[in-house]
Amino acid sequence: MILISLGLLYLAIEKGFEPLLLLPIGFGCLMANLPLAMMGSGDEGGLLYYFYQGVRHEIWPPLIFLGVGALTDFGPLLANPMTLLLGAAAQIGVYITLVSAVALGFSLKQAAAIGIIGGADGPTAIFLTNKLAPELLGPIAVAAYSYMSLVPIIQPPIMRWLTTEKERKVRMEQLKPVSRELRIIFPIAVTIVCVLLLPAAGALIGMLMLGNLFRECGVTKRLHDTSETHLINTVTIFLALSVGSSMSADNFLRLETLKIICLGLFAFGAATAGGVLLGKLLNVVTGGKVNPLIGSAGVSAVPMAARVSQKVGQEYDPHNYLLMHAMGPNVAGVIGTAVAAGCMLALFGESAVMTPGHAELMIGKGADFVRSIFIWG
Amino acid sequence: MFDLIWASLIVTFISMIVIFIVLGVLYFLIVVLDRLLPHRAPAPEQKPAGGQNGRELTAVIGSAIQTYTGRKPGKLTITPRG
Repeated sequence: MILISLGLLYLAIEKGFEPLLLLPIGFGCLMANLPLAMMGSGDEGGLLYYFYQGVRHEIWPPLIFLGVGALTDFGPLLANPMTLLLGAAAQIGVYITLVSAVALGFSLKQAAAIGIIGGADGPTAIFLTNKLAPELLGPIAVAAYSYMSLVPIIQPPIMRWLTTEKERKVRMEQLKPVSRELRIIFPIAVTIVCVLLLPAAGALIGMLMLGNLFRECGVTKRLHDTSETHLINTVTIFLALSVGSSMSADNFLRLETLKIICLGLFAFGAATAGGVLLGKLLNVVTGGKVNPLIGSAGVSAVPMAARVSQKVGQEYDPHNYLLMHAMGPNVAGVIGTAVAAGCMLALFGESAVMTPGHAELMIGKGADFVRSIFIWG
Repeated sequence: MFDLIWASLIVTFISMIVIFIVLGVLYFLIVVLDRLLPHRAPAPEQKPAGGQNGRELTAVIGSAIQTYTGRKPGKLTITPRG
């Protein structure tokens, strides 16, 4: 495990793979695995044990989301709300991976936690994994953050494979400006709608939108500044050290870890493909006004996925500027992944529908529901 | 195993529907709010007629009066007649 921690430090420092996260994760892993230091997440009384309580009690990921909200400009999404659908379509990667993980022998809860890697959203992955499969926290966090840094390598071949040259050259209309009132009402409205429809996603969506309200309302400059800089940086240190401290040999050096790494890559690919395919559909429906390349930004690796759309688009037309158009699906992906996590929690969480005998139960309930409609009718 | 895969497919189906419903509701919400609260471009800065503080217009009118009457425009005086 010490070698693995050194490997993570090497990737972070020398290769620049998400260094803000992989470096503290690697260092936390190193400290946790040095004998007699009492620095593991399970070593009661040690420093990292107390940091880990922030993961265990779901404090750090929502606080990261507060900072993400403060950093996020929802303007491109508000200017072109159709891009919300691209953020939704990219979530298919999460579920295709869920089915694949089940086929590879993981339990449903573990498979759900693995699938969320496809959302390309580290805090959400940690939040969900902690609730459904805490024993997989280390491998899933490492896979999620490693692949996020590999987005510029993973996505372009899939984008080129699924689109024609003509589609890649589509120029999109300039985005219209959005009123300040809409920017202020949006986070409040999203919180009300999402929490009412999907209470399990309340912690993530609520904090994301609070951070965004700090940004847009214009009267909480100090809170906004703190959220987008000092708070998110501080919490990132605690979160990443906590994740690193949970990486012990007995739960990391296993065949499952390799499977998770492979499934994570598959999840990213499937999510990218889902977004691009819906982008192609929107291109047809709108009469060629949507460049399908922006669909790949539906995975929520903000803003890297949007930059990839821009870069691939400019390879075929140097004067095509897709970045702001791609930011729409990109931020929609953040909301989409949080909603997907909420769905998983609703189905597999503490008030789970999917208890043992889940399939029979669900099929039975479905049959009862259909029967009730006919009898009622 | 087959049961689990079947269950995961059901989960996929239900969840994707829920995601599209939630984001679809947000889509309509944005469209409606955008209609209710459209962006208004800031009004262009009002310039007084005739240029800065109206002085240019005054000068033009003054010179026109001078040309027409052959004398400098002075203070308006009203002379009672009859």
